[in-house]
Parts: sequence; C-alpha cells; structure tokens
Amino acid sequence: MDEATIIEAARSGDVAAFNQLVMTYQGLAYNVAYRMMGNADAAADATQDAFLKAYKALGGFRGNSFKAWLLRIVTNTCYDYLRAGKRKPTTNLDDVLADSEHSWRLVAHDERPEAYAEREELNRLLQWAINQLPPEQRAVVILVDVEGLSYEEAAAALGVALGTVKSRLSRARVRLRDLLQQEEELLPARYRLKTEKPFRV
Amino acid sequence: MSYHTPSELSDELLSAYLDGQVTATERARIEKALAEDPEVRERLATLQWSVSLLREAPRLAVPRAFTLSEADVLAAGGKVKGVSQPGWMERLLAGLSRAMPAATAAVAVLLLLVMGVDLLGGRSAQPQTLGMEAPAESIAAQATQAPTPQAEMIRPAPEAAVTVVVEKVVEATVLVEKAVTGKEVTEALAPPAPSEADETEPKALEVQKESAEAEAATPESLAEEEPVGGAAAMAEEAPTESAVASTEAPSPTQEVVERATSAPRTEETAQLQPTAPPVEKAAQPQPTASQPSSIPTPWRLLELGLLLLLVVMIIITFWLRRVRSKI
Repeated sequence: MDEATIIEAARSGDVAAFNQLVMTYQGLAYNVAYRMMGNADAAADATQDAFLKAYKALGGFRGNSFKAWLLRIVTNTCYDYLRAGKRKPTTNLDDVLADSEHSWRLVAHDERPEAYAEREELNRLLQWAINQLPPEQRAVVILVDVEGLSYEEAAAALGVALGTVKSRLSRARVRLRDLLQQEEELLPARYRLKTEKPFRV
Repeated sequence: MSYHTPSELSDELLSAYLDGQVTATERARIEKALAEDPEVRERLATLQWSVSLLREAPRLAVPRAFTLSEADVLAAGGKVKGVSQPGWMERLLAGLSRAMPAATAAVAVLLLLVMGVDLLGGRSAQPQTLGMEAPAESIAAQATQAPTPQAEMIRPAPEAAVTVVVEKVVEATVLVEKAVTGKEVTEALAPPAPSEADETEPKALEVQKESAEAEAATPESLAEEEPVGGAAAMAEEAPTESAVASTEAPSPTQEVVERATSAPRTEETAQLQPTAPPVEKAAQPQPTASQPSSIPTPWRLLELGLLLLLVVMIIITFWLRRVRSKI
C-alpha cells in the first residue's frame, strides 16, 4: 500500500493505518526532537505529542510532502516546549561531557567498541554546540545539515521563505564552526580539522 | 561586471556555495577568489569541516514505539473509525464526573471550616456563661453529691434543727433557772407585751412538738439521742418553767423563749421546706447562651445548607459513575 493510500485511510479514522506512518517516520521525528531539545526524555514527550497532533490534523494535509508536513508539526511542538520552559538544553560543556549515564543510545553499527565510544564523544560535542544556537537557527541546521533536507523542504517544514532558510543556515554554520574549532581537542582525532592554520574571525 | 575583493565575500555566500545555492555569476566570483586568496580557501574549508561533522552526527535509537492507541486518540479528542463520537451529553457527563470529586471535596472542606468557626465562636462566648453557671452547678453538684458545709446546713435540716433546738432549749433552761433563783430579778421587772406573753406557751409547745418530730425523722441520730431526749425533756421543762417565770420575770423568759422558738422556728421552716427548692433556687441560673435558642444562628443555617449540598453532591458523584459505566 503506498503512502497516499495509507494517509487516506488514516484520515478516515483508521488508527492502524496511521501507525504505519508512525513506524516509518518515528526515527526521523525523534532525532529532530532530540537535537532541538537536547534531552532524550523531552524529545520522547515531544515526539509522542507531535504524532497525536498529526493524527488529529490529518484533515488539513493537502497531499504535498508528508515528511515536511510532519516535521513542521515536530518542530512547532519543540518550539512550544522550549517557549514554555519545560526542558531547556544544557549549554555547559562540562555537564555535557560528564553525562556518562545518558539515556540516549546510538543506532548500532557493526563496529568496534572504540569506534562506538568515538561516535558518542562526537555526539556529545555536536549537541553541546547545537544547544548554543537560538531555536530558529537550530531547527534549520538540524533539518538541512543533520537530516539532509533540501532548502525547499526545510522552507516548507519551517513555514518560512527560502531566503530565510539560507540566511539562518549560514549564521548557524558560522557559529558552529567557531565553537567546534574552539573545542577541537575534545574531538576524536579522526574528526579534527587537518589545517595548520585554523581560521579565526 | 565589477570585481569584488575576496574579503567582500560573505560567509553566507560561501555557505550557499557549499550547497550549490548560488547563481552562475556568484559561483564565478567565488571560484576566482578561491584561486587567488588563501584566506577565502581557509574560510570555506572550516565551513565545510563543520558541515561535514554535522552530517556525520550519529543517529539516536528510538527509546520506544510512538504508535497511537484508540484510547489515546479518543482521550485527545480525535476521531476513530467505527467509534461513535460522544455527544454533548456524554461530554457533559464526562466533564462533570471529572469535576465532581474535587468539587465535593471542596464543599466538605468548607463545611468543616464553617463548623470550626461556629465552634470557636461558641466556645469564646462560653466563659461568661460558664462563670455564671459555675456557682449554680457547683451548688447543684454539692447538693446532689458530696455534702459540703453549705449543703449540710441546708440538707440535713432535721439533724441540725434538732441540735440547734437542743442548744437553744438548754440555753433557755439555764436562763430560766437563773431567773427563778432570782439572780436577774432586777432586770426582769419590765412586764412583757400581752401578745408576746400569750404567744410564749404556744411557741413553747410548738418547740416541744417540733423536737419530737425531729427526733422521729432522724433514726440515724443515735449519738444525739440522749441529748435530743434530754433536749426534749428540757424543752418540756422549759415551757413550763418559762410559763412560771413569765409571771415573775417575763422579760428574760420571753427573751429566752423567743430565742428558743425563733431558732427552731427558722429551723422548722428550713425543715419543712424540701431541700430541692434552695438547691433549685441556687441551681436556677440566669438564662445563658448555653440554653439553645429556638432561632438557629446564621452559622448553623450555613452548616445545614453545606451539609445538604455535600450529601447531594456525593449522590450525584456516585450516580455519574454508574451512568458512565453503563455508557
């Protein structure tokens, strides 16, 4: 059954059909929510809330990109949570690095434990840097650079113009670059910048 | 086309260049700058490095499935195929059943507060009434329980009366003897008033009578039997002697007999009257606030109203539960 048929069945009140969509997009939705919230538990709450809103709002889906439409609901739910002050992401690097008993788990690869540990270190530092960004820049860099959406998809997901995506993304990238260069020694060796003269603004 | 110096190339343009989001003209300019200016190359390289890190960001595993249940959907107000949507009545009942327990608890708390205020207000007014009642209560308690000096003076009237009569008669006898012996003749020269002289014998007889009655009424007074008997004998003697002495020395005997009769007479009145009235008189307190007024206070009315409301709300709560369980 193709996605359009499933969506139509879900729109008529078929919860089981909607759950097929949930199983397809829950990984994407949860990872976006995690990068936005900076916290695994808050991300789970936001994701569940977003899917419930999506089910109730299916009547307003106009048949364009379901992925972009769903991500818009996810990001808006995360904005609401952040505005309400429910869970603010940690911006202290020491706290992030000391978070040894975190509740999140990486998708397992067929890799050595040392490689898994390196990916965990990368994840911590990246999330710390992302947490420093304002929510609007954070959403753009997550959708485009982390999740690989195009500028158009990101503009549709965020409900903003293409130029807005471009400007927010560039500012986010410049800020992230400066932060990551600042703490480059905390990165595993294979992730460090190989130039001898690091760029300084 | 004007040539822009490489330093005028913004990071935004370089960022867009990374994603291919530039025009042909912008691309040419940027590529020329990259070829000529190492600083532009450095800026682009670091931007590219940070973007590549973001693209390598590890994916997190979902902690659980985020699938929805029909119950979750219905609870959130969503529609489910094959499940009839609750009408306004069901929604109203659902809302009421959620609100009723809390509202009932609030009414119960309010009722307790009102009762507490009423109780404290009643107790604060009681010390005055207690002060007024205490003597009466104490007297009543004394009258009904342990005998006290006051109660003894009131209650065991027959015994006390007899004792007093005896004492007075003895005193009278002594005075009469003195009068007969003539020791106080000079003082007794003043003739008595006729009414008083006529009353002495009946009074004396009454004394004799009363003493006999008192003796009969007190079987317990064995210890005083002889004195009583003696007093009775003396009482018998006293009137006769007083009657004899009255012709010669009326004043002292009159005084003696009057004393003898006045005391028994007072005791007689105390004896005849039941013990209850004095106690009752003492126990008749002033109307106080402890006596419930027939008109309920505003606080009592409020308590009754809240109690009725609480009962009604409890009934409604249980009824709603029953109705919703059937739906």
